[in-house]
Amino acid sequence: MNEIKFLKPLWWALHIAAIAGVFWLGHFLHFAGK
Amino acid sequence: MPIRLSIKAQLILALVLLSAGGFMMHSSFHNPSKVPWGYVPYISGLLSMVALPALYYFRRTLHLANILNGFTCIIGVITMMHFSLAMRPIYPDILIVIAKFYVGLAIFELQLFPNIDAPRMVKGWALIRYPNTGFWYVHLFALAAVYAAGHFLWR
Repeated sequence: MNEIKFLKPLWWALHIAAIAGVFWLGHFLHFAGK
Repeated sequence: MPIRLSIKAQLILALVLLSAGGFMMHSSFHNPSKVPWGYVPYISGLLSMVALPALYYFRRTLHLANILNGFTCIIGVITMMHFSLAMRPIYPDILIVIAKFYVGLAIFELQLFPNIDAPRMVKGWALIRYPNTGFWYVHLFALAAVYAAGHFLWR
């Protein structure tokens, strides 16, 4: 678990970036009509 | 050559071949030069064919390889499921990307555990913590929810 403590800021940064990225991907991809 | 190393090499080759197959299939169906969202499988495919084999090969970058492989597969499953519901069913293609995920997981665990005959000691909530397989199921559902929110709420 020590590794997780060490990674805490990175953990938050990754989660925020991933949520923003996937949320945008859901907005971006509209397959209908293609 | 130790058998463990040759198994690793074979699995990495299988990963590259699965990725190359997916990359070529995507390029012919929706080329990035024609449709902008073609870049999603294009970049994921390039990453899986070029970067992942090298990252999986070296012990230092093993976790990065596993994370990248897992999340590219999750994005693949979610977007192709969306495509299946919106356009036409492509469930066989989804099964291919799931197979790629498990090939990557096998390479990862082969190197992570020195004794591959040992029983798994993980129980309870630890099953959904990294690097256990439950971590990936939780993230598949969580990212699917975020993707659906982005799709339906941000029009």
